[in-house]
Amino acid sequence: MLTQYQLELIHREIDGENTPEASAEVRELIASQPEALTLMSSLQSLDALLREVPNREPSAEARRAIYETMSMHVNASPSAAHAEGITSTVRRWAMEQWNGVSTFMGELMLTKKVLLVATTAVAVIAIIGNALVGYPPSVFDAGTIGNGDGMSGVQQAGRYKGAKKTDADVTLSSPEIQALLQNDQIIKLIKSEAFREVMRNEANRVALSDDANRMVLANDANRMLLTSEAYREVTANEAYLRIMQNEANRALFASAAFRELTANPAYREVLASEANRKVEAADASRKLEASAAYRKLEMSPAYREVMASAAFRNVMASDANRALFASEAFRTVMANPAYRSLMASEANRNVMLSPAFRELTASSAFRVLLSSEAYRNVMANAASRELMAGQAFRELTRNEALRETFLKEANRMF
Amino acid sequence: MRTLSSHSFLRRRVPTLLVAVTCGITAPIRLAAQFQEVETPTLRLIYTSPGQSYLVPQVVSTFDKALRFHEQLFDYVPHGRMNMLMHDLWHYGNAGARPLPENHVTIGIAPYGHDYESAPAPERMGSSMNHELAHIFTTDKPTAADRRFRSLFLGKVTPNAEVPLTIAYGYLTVPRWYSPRWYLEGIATYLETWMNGGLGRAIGPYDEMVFRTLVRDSVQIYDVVGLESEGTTIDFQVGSNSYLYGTRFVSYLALRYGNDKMLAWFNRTEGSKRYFASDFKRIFGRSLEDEWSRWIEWEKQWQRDNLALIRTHPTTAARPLTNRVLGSVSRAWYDSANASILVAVRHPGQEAHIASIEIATGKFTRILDIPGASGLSVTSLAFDPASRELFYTTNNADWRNLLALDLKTGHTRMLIHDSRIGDLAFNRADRSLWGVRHDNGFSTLVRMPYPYKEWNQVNTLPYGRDLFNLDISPDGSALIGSMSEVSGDQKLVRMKTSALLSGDATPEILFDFSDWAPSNFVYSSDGRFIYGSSYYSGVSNIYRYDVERARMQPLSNAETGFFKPLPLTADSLVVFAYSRQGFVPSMIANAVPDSVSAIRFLGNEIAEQRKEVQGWVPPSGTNVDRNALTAATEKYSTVRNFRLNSMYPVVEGYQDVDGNFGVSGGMRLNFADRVGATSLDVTGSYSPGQELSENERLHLHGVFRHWNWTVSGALNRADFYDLFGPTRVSRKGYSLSAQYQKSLLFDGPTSLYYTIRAAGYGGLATVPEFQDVAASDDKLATIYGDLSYKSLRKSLGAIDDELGSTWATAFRGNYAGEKFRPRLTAEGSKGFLLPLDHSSVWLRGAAGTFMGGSRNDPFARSYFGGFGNNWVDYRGIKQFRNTESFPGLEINEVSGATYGKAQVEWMSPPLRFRKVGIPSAYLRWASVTAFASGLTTDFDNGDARRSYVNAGAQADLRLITISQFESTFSVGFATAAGKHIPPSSAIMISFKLM
Repeated sequence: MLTQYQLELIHREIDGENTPEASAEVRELIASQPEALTLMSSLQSLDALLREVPNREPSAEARRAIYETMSMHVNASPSAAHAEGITSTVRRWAMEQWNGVSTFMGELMLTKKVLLVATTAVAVIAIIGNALVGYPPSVFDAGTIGNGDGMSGVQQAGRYKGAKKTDADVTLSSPEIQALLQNDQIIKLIKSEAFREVMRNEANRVALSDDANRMVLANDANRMLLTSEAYREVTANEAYLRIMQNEANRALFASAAFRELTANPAYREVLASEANRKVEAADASRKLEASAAYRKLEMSPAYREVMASAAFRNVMASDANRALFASEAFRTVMANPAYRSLMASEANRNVMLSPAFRELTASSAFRVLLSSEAYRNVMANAASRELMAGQAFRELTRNEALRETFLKEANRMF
Repeated sequence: MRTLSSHSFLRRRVPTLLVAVTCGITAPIRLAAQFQEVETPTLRLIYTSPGQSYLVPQVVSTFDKALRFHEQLFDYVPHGRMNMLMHDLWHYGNAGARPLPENHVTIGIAPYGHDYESAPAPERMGSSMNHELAHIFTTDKPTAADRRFRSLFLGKVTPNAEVPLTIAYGYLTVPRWYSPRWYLEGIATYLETWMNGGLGRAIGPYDEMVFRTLVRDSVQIYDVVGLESEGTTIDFQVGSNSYLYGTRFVSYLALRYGNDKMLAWFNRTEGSKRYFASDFKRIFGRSLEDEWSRWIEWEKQWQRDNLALIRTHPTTAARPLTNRVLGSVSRAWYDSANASILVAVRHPGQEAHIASIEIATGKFTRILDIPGASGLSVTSLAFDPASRELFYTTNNADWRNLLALDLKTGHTRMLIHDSRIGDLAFNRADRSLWGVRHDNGFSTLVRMPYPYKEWNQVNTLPYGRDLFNLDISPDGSALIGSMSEVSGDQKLVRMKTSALLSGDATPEILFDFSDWAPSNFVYSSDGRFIYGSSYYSGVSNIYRYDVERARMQPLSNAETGFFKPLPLTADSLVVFAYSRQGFVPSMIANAVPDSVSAIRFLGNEIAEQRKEVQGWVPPSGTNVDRNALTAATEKYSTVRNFRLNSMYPVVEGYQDVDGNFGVSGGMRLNFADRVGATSLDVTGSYSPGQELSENERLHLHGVFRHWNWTVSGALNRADFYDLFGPTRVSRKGYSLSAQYQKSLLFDGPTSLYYTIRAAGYGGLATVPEFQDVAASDDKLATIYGDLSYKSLRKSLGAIDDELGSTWATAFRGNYAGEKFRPRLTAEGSKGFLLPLDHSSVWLRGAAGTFMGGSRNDPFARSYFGGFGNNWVDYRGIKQFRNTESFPGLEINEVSGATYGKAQVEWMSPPLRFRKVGIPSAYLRWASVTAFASGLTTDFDNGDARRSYVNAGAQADLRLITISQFESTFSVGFATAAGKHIPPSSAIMISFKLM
């Protein structure tokens, strides 16, 4: 599409007002843009025809109507009805003339005679317009009454338009993190004492800066899991929250045996197995139990130790655990390939093994945080989950300054 | 530049900002710890919160582009890095610039305001940079002579009222800073428009409307003096007039004489004149006043032609509802219970308030004052017709508070303090309140369920997109609003509320007004139509959108402009018609006019005739390395940013205890950090004359400020204003004091501070507080503490605080000669604005008592007397308001160990001068104040009790010198009498320099 400047350049060329340099620019434009060539040709034809049109006065009828309209408005419209009547007459007349011309042109546009008639009409309109306005409008003031995209009866004012700013002109650094902080629930969360305590917690800092954790966060499976609806439901589930607060659960998580178990390749293999995913079905359960991986897992000391631990038994016996296991969302998560892939990953294992993680999950602040309503609301928030799954969040965890963003936000003054 | 942005704006607002920053809204140390700093080769960006870090690449990128553009245009590379302070203190985006003491830009990151499309702009960081750097380049660029003075004073000198010679020093180092606001804003707005691709006030429909209206109504267009003396002070546009007139005049010059000649006036090249008006004559060959008159004639013809275009078709008749012009107005709501409209108004002379206007009679009833009204939209207003509860916002320019007013009881209640929410809309279906919250540069659509004590995020728009002018359909199913994009494009959009609440904020574009913004669209009561305004034809007309047919139609052909429609019946609607003095509520028919013609824009004419402006585009291709910026970011360091700003000679006066007077000469050094939170001013001078004893000839004074702390020390303190008297602050001896001041409340015009100070004095001859009162000991230790409350307000165009209240209570303990002399004082004031515009009455009271030691000891007593003004002064002009003043008596003539004082004061409306003077010096206003006081001292001691009364008046004449310094010539007369003293009179003459 030709720019305003290019259009103007071509018009000036037709009018013979271009400098030699500008003319050269026009020639180059025509050579490179077919649209420019078409415009130039049509304007040249029109120009030639217009030159043949003698200066003509508009018809007496038209002049009378227009003058009446003008004088009426100069006198500040003493009679609106009268004014409207005259204007309507003029408009009807103009519309009739225009409709006639346009229909005619539509049928016979290619005949030279019609072109002459049409251009003569254009010239007459231009002369009348000039008489009305008193000066030619700027090319940027041009407007039309009732144009296709506009409103009938309103002449749209023109406006010079240079290069427009676009999204490409905006360079930001992880705005999604700050946008997330516009959420009232997140604000409540990060303003809570529990959150502040967790953020101040050395274990949390170590855990967040841990290579393994970063790998987990960068993991596609993790990303998919975090953004899944089922995961949202699980983390918002009352039973899940009770489990996370459960003393036995904490003890289990903190136990060396559990860590060893989760680090066990057999365990990961079991988790990743198709049979485990379908463990609800008796068939699958049998398949799982018969699998080499499961047998290997059963034989591992860590597994046995976990199974025998009071903490595990307490966890398994708790109502919350049963409720959680029974929930559809939990089963969906367990069946989620992303979850299985994540659980089977080396990085996840390293996270689970890290003392910082253990210390963090064992801290009371962490438990208070998980049990807070604000936290649950945040976990239920789609934007929040998208953030955690995104590149920005991974960057956040990698950067010491950014890692403190949340804590700083909690203390932000402006 | 935005409606309020400018260097002058910065002069007024930056002190406020720095007070907010310096005094601390809560804990200053925590605040300081938040500040971040990042440097590039050309920029030193300091921002007030790590949360703003996401904007750093955008700021750096747009700054770099604007810098390169201006460097090329002005053929100048500024010295050193430019400083920029980025913050989030304002509700709407704004910025300011100053070249002193270093080049400095302040930028608020909030989205721009969109009122009346008075300042159209694309992405705000880029727009602000384009505008603010124009200020820097037009004021900072020096000639060789300017550079020599900068070298001499070791920097650019900031005018300082304590040292009035700095006016001259500043003028010698940065002469173009001493120009009127319209001159500076005019060129900045003009350049910004083209740099924004044509989006700006140089092609502004609001600007065309303002001048079209002046011509239509045959109202005088301000001349070059009248603009500054009256147009920027009492017109309802106040500061906006600087932009309106400045942009228009600069555009006219560019069109008539070409951009090269116009730009030469703003380019401080070798051979150019220091003073802007003198340089005009050099370039254009005629005086500024002459050319201004020619512009006015040209402008009249231009607007007459545009009016003729509008009158091509019948114009819309509008019936005013009232003969009262409202000034600025908020959105209006219909209150069917009283058949009236509810609207907030703000006009010169009276404080902004909510009012009701009866439709049938036009009866105007004032309902409630609004502290902290904003410029053109006053407040954000929403109405629940069922409960007749009106929702409104205060502190509208800063962090908005959300309040509710029960129209049935008149009771108001604070809903959410510092909510930062505006653009309110009420959902009748579920009684929820909706609005747009501005925080950290984002616009967030929020919903506030009943009882409106909290807000919930509905959708946060990406940076650069904004939503405003909300309304909700009567059935609560849809929300409409205007949505602006990075490009500056604005569209009328609709969103389903159910979808919004389930996380889908996809907008449906109802109508694209192309280059012109849709404004204030609202639903009809049956929900079938939506009414709003747009400059679609270049004139703001009312449009009606048929929801069912999805069709937009015009409803008016206005000569000036119609805004903020409020549909009443199927036949008619209320609109606000623009007039020279503000908006007039009027009725128009709900009917489609015959036709509406477009007007022409001066800016378009320039784009066509002076095509070079089309190439005025900042360079592209700036690559910002975000990682490098992140790595380069560090905490702001006061020490690293602390440096010498300037050094210059001073002259001071000193009077010893025997009345011998010496004139001293010396130097003053000014150090400060780059956010102004830490500073050190050191002055040393010496009196070479023999009048003073040798140990009183050296004078030293230093003040160190760091956030809330102030430490000062002095030796034989001298002062410039002691050269004149009669009030003198010079004191023999040495002193050291430390003070801590902190705000407990800082909310718009209301504040509550406490101050704690400890000081030690040695070698004393007179009491530090009271001149000519001999000290009873030459050593003194003092502790002081006070609690001070202030809530002072003024109406648009005021010359002084006009209403509000203050109170303070203070404790002072003087320890000298092994005796402790505690004193307790309290004072308060209350001001009322009278029905007469800008006229108010103040009542003041004060009381004090000593609490131990000898009541006759000068360290235990309080002293009274005198007007308090110096012949030449820099302090407030109305010193008679101070507790220690008592005009009619001599300075410190009477005293008491206990006292009670009362005063009543009446302030007359000011007499304005439209044209008395020349651009460099002119009169602005004159006013008279009358007062009467009563004082009783030692009221607890029958024998010593004394009572005094006085009455007097003071006339003040405000004049502006060198375009920006507000000087005041004051004359006062008072007579005092008492039972134990003969009647006495006093005349006061004073000239306040700045």
